[in-house]
Formats: sequence, structure tokens, C-alpha cells
Amino acid sequence: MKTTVLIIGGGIAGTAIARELSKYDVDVTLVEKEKDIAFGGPTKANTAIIHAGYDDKPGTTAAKLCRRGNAKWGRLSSELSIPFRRIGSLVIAFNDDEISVLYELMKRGEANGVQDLRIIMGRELFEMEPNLNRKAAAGLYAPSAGVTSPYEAAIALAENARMNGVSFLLETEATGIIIKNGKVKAVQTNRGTIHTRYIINAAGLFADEVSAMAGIEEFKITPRKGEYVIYDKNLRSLVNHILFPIPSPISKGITVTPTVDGNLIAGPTAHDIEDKRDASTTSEGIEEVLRGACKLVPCLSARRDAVISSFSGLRPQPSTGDFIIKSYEEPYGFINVSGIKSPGLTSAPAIAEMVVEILRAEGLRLEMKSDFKPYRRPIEHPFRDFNPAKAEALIDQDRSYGHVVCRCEHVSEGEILEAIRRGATTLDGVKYRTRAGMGRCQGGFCTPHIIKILARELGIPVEDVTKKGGDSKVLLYRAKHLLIGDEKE
Amino acid sequence: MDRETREVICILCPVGCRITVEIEDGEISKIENAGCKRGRDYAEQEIKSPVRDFFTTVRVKDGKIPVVSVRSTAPIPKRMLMRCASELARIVVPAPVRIGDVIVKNIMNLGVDIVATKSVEKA
Amino acid sequence: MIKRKLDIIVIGGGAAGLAAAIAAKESGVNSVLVLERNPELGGILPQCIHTGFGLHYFKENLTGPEYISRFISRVHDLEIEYKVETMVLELSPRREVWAVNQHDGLLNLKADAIVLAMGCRERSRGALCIPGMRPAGIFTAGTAQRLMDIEGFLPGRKVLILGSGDVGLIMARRFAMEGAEVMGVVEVAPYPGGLDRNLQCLRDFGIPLYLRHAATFIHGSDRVEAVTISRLDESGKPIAGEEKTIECDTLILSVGLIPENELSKGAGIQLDPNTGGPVVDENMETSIEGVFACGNVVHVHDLVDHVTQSGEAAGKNAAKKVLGELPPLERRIHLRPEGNIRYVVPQIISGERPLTLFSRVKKPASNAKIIVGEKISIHKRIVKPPELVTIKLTSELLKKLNPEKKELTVTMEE
Repeated sequence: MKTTVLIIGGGIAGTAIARELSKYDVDVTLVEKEKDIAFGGPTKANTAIIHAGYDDKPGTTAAKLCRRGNAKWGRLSSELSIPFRRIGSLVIAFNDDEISVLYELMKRGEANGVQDLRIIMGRELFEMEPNLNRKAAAGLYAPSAGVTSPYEAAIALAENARMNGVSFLLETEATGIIIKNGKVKAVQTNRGTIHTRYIINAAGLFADEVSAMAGIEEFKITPRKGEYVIYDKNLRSLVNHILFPIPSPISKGITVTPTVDGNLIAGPTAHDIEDKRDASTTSEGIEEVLRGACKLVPCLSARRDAVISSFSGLRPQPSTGDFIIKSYEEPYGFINVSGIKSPGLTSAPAIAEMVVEILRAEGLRLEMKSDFKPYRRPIEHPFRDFNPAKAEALIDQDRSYGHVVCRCEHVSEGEILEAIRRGATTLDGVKYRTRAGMGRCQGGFCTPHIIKILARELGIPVEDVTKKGGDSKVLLYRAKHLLIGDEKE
Repeated sequence: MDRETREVICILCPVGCRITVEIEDGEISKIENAGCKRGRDYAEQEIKSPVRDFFTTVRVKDGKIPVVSVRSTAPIPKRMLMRCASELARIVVPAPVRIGDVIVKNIMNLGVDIVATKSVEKA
Repeated sequence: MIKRKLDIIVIGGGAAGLAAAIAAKESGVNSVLVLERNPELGGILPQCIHTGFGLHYFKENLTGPEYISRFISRVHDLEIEYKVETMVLELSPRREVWAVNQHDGLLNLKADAIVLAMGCRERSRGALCIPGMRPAGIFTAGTAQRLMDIEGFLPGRKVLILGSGDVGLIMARRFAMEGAEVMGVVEVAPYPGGLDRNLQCLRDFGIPLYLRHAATFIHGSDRVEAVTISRLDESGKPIAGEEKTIECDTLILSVGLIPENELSKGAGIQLDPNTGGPVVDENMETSIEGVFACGNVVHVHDLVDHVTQSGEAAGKNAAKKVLGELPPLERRIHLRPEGNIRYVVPQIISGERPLTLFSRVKKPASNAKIIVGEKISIHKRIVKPPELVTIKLTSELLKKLNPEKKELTVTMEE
């Protein structure tokens, strides 16, 4: 197999780079080790915030790309139909010391080029957030912050990239890099060798390991675990903006924020761990999230009943403390896009543009395609923001939109079929593209139906349907299997 | 003399009497703590020859659903539950199945039939 | 889009909904429509293949499918209209229903009376925030039951069950009967949650019952590999050092049923936080005129026989409403549960007519006196949380109540 640019990693960075490169006349391939885009981890398990840009240390790559990226999200979300809302954020201070920090953040933001920051106190603060802890003294308001759906974003970027010619190889894991005469030659994978001139290392949690394959070991990635709690959509109206506490040296703190889908989410915690594969939740972590949430929005303490789920995400924390986006003299052709933790999601479109510039500087001829297709149609959801006329039109076109399968999120079979057409091969793949299974019953009603639909459409036995690829089969056996043993069924 | 005391939790009504049964040389010698006669009889049966309602599913061929729920027409000895389950596991009945259809007559010679408890149409 | 006006719409074609529809039709209302989201009528009953249904209503010991088939037959005999695989999207306060199915497309319906019979949903792993990984192999008991007894699959071979309520115990028995190894049933309370009749299967199959234990970690990244359980102290906190990791490939959750009232909330119907369901009066009418509710959507019942009775009452009264024969209650006395009484349904009574109240207690008690309005005292030999307590208010007893009072407490003494 041969390509010109090989992107390792199908998270938000990898897919953003793929889409950006797909604007040019160049052969691009993306390899992802999991069964689907965004399955790797950090991209699907974060706070989903598009940050304003006052958090990052001025002069860092993160600071530069965050502000640039923030400005690009409007257009990106519009072109690719990614859910995105600029709801604004408030960093909440509870005392004078914390108010001083707000002023520092504001100064930092201005140094980073963030224009419209302002400190809000008193009645205005509580008018903006009626359920905010009455002990709150002031808030740093950043109107340019927003919320999005990070896995939908990665999926949309990948769809558009594929539409524009990028090849995607899933369940394909980089196992080694072949360098000859100081130049990148090929990447070895579990599915064979791919010859390439350039490698973009966007391997997230494993970026240091991939970088080591190229002989570059100047940084280490430490998984920093963040746990979250999701509340029922019924609580959406409790909060209007993204609410932050005063940040700590290692984290922006436990936020309470409305999600773009209409839930409320609290988190994350921040604890460094050893095992990059340990995205488990812990009882201490969840308690910590709930405490942090109740500090900002005290009425949440009486609403444990409204929690619908919890999850954990690992941030790929770089030992350098900043994004590592650079090329090297040796091996020529290897470009690191590593340590993309927060504000990675915000920065993604700017990271992609920066990588294109790096490739150019490395000698890759990049000519814009004349037939680049910038738009990606979303999967239509007839019953979200229910509009009878629109729903009717969709059902007329395709009756399967009239068969609602996910009761909680009102997802129809039509949407599930479309998700499968667009690449979903697992329960989670359907979930991330349609929200089926993300509601308050957490798949209790729809799972049996979705499994059957997947089996039918993929032409596989029902017992082979998985939750997320690998060994995650949902159903192990057909009826009576354990009673009849090896007899013919 | 070989004496043993066993406890039977009666399931006939919400009181759930914890009935003590004394067994001497394999025969019931005393039944205590039963709140009523039905409970006493139940405890005796539980010790002598415990029975259970038996219900499971049987595979269906060419039906709208792949299994049909079935039951025994009368309770069967507790010790025969898994044997009957295994026996029925080997069967596949063709659709259509009507509620009440006899799936197996006189299963394992227990004098009890296995009948369908729902109907399954042809696919 | 299909626009229709009906006399009565019943939302939910399970035990409650079918009973309501039948009662309404038998009361002389012709245009009754039942809307059901599943591909078949019957609600949860078609997958409840065990016995124990109909002991009161039919004086027979039936399986779930047998019980409900009688009502489905009656629906057919009475030619009651129903639509399956039809999802109700919205209910408005003005009794307008938006529903959709593949065949008709969008349905915009209006009715003179609505009967809510949506039943309940199961509490999920997510809602409990059980720590650990997110592997495949975690199912709520009802979902596992559907997969096993309707779809014909066996979700796993080494099963751990959380929750000793009836559904969990019933699934323990089913798994054992299918040849799976049931590693245990784990219960946070010091006493089991299900009926003795269902607990029996633990003894029958030698399944360990871990009382005062909770699941504290789920292991396995792709598929469940093991679950760690911990003994709990008096306050419900895990005791360090008292953990046990149980190897299993399947975790079944039977940790609570929640009345499914999203449609009710959307319509602005007043809900009772103690039940999770609508506040209803003795006519089973909710806070919106013409909207009635019955079955598990009002409160979680223990016997389907009671659900049927609940449905019949709602259906009869919805019909009376449509025929103009349901006058407003003479008085609206609010019943307030206190102490060991978790809830009382109906929450509003007139005090004029004899009726049966349904209640649940928080903790087991024996030789208890249920006291209504400080004046009525009813003796109960045994009361337990898993069993619905019936409080029969006869005309005699009702006479004892103070006619002035707008609110009465319902409490318990031992």
C-alpha cells in the first residue's frame, strides 16, 4: 500500500488534519487502531468545550492555536453540520483572592488576543445564572466560548475527508516506522506495510510510543484521568453558560455546563494515572465531580436522581506542557501532532492549518483541488426540535424514519440506517452518530432493536454485533446453546 | 434414630411463615410454626416431594419470533427441572404455534404436558 | 400526516392500557385507540414467561403471556382499534397527541379523554454511577429478559445479578434454567427485595445471596470480566477490606423501576415525587382534566392483577368523562404520606365513596397499624417494601374522617 501523507490516529486532531489536507491534490490515508473514528478515547470523552482562550500561557502553541481555532468553529460547524453553540462561559470566583485570579485570567486572555472578556459581579451575575451558588462573588465572562459534540465533529470531519478522497483504514494499528537514510519510508501496521513520504503522528494517548517508533523520544504522554457525570435533559434549564471554578495548576477544574445536546454535564476531575487503557470511573472520582458541581450549582445536591450516566476520559498530557506540533530534520517526513489535550478540541481546525503549513515547509507540493466539496450533510433527525412538516417530508421519502427505535432520544430506524451507511458498524458507532442509547434509559429499550438492525444491514449473525469492536460482543449465544452444548443447532 | 430439622419458607401468602419440620428416620415427625393448614401441607410437600411450576422457552422455526414461551400443565418434581429444560432445549417447533398447543406430551413420563403459552405466527 | 379526533386515546398497550381500553369500550365509548411502541401488544407481559399472574384476577396461576392473551383476545373481540410500533412523541395539555409510525407517518390526534399507561423504565448502570470500565455485557433485567425470551438469545454464561427485587430473581432463575452459571445476587439492603415465591429459586439453584453488598467496580474493557462487590456498613458505605471480586461475563441490573412520565412532564401534569408518577384522584384523573393514568406509570405495582384493576378504573372513568357522566369530586382531600409510609395512591380522595388505597412502606414491619387522618386505623399483620399494601376504606371507616380537613396524613404505628 502506498500513500503520500499517512495520518496515524482518528481523533479530533487526525480527522481535522485529514479534512484540511483533503482540500489539496495529495494522496492521504488515515489509520485508526479502533473500529471507528473517535473510539480511541480522548476525543469522545471530554467536556466538549470550545474555549475562549484565556487559560493558556501566552506564547505557547496551545494559546495561539486555541484562539485561532475558536474563531474557526463557526464556519467549520456550519460547513460540516456539526452541532455547536456559542453559549459563553463564566469563571466563578468566591472570594477576593479568587477575584484577583479572574483579573489575571483576563489579562492573560488579552495577551492571547481574546477580545471580549469582562468581569461581572452582583445582580448581573445572578441574572445570567439564577442557580449559581449565592456565595459566588464574581465571574469572568467570555462570550466566545461554546459547546459542541466532539465525537460528532470527528465523525463529520472524517466523512467530509473521505468524500474528498482521503482513505480511512480502521482497526489498523501502527506497529513500527521504517526509516532509511534519515527519511521516513513506511509505517508497519497489523494489516501490512504502508509506504509513505510523510507521517502525521496524531496518535493521542499513544503519540509518545509512535514517536519513539520514529526514534524521537523527547517527550512522554501521561494519561490524566477526568471523570464526568451527565444529568437528565430535564435539568438543562438550570444553567445557561459554561461554568468554571478557578483553575488549578493542572486543570480548568470541575465545570457544570449545558451540553450541545441539551443535557447538563459536570466534570472533569484531574488525576494522573499509569495505564493508558484505564478509562474507568471511580467512586472517589464521581463523588469529587458531584462535590465540585454542587459547589457551583447547589441545587444539584438534591438531584442525584437526575444523573443518567458517568464516564471517564484520559487527556494525553505532554511532559513538555504544550502541544508538540513540529517536524524534524531527522527523520525527514515525520511530523508530531502530540500532546493534544485541552484546548485540543478548540484548536483542531487551527492545528490542521498549521500542519498543512509544516508540510509545505517540508517540501510537499500542495495545490488546492478545484472540486473540493466543503459541505457535509448531517444525518437528519426528524424528531429532534420536532418540526412536523420536516418530519413528514422525511418520512415520505423514506418510511423507516417513521419507526422510532430509541424512545428517550426519539431516534428513528431511518437515522440508524443512515448511520450504518456512513460507517457505523457497532452499537457505539450508531450511538455517536444518532444519540440512540444516550438517553435516560441508557439503551434499555432500543438496544435489542439496534442489534438486529446492525446484524441485518451488515449481514452478520446477531451474536457477532459488538458494542465497540474487538471482543465486545453484546450477545454471546443463541438460545439453548449452553443446554445443547456441541450438538448441531 | 436419625433426626433432622429443616426450615421451609412458605410462599403461599405474604406472611411467609418460617415452618420448621422435624424428620425422624426419614419420616416427618413434627411440623411447627405454620400459620395455617395450607402452609402445613405445603411444608410437608416441600420436604417429601418438592414440586415447582416449570416454564421456559422452546425454539421456533420460521416464526415471527425465534422462541415460544412454554409451561408445564402442572408442577413437576423440583429435581426434574433441569432435565426437562435440557430435553426441551433439543426441540425446534415449526411456526405457526397456537397458545395451548401441546409441545411435548407427558414429558419424561411425569404425567404432565408442555404447552405453548403464547401464539407465534409464521414469519 | 393523519389528523384524527377520537373519544379516548390510550397511550400504552400493556396490562394497564388494554384493561383501560376494554373498560372504556364496555362502558359504551366507541372510538377508542390504543397506541403501543413495541411491535406487539402486551407491554412487558409477553416476556414474563413465569407463573404467578392472575392469582387474584382470574383465580388461576398463569404465565405472563397467558394472562395478557386474554386481554388481547378481548381487544380483538371488541374490535378496539390499536396501532403497534407507534411512538407517542408529545402530549399537550389540551389532550393533543403527536405520534408516528412507519405505516401512517405522523399522527396528529385529539381526544376527549386520554389514558396514560406508559408503564415504567429500568434504572441503568449509568444512573447508579457504578464505577469501573464500560464493557459490553451489562444489561438491565428487563432488557435481558426480552433478549432471552422474545429474541431468543443468551446474553452470557457467567452471570452476576445486582438487586434482589423480583425481576432480578426471576432472571436468576431463567439464566440458571438456560444452563448459565449464576454467580450470585447482590443486594444493598440487609433484607431481600423480592417476594418469597421468587427468592425460592436462589435456594433451588444454590445461588448465593449477598445481602448488604454493593457492586464497587466493573472489570473488563471490551466485555465484562469480573465485578467487585463490597460489604456495606450501617450507613451504606463500602467497608475497606471486605471486597470480593466475582468472575463473570454478564452483569444484570435489577435496581429499580421508574415510572415513565416524560410525556406527562411535557404536558405539565403534576407529578408526585414519592411515586415518580402523576398525582391522581380516586377517579384516576390527573391534574389535567380529561387525562387519566393507570398502571405502573402511576406507581410501580407488584402484581399485574392490581395493574388490571387500575386500568379498568381509569378506563371506566375516562368513558364516563366522555359521556358527560363524571362529575367533579365533591371534595378534594389530599393524602400525605408520613413516617414509614413511602406513598399513597390515589393522592386525592373525596371521602364520599369507599375505595382501596395502595401504598408502600419504607421498612418492613409486623403488627402494624396504618392510620389515615388520625382517625382511621387499619391493622396489617406484615408489611414489607416489595409488597403493595392495600388500605380498604369502607363507608364505615370514611365516616370517621373529619369533613373539614383538606389534607390527611397516612402514617404507620407498630
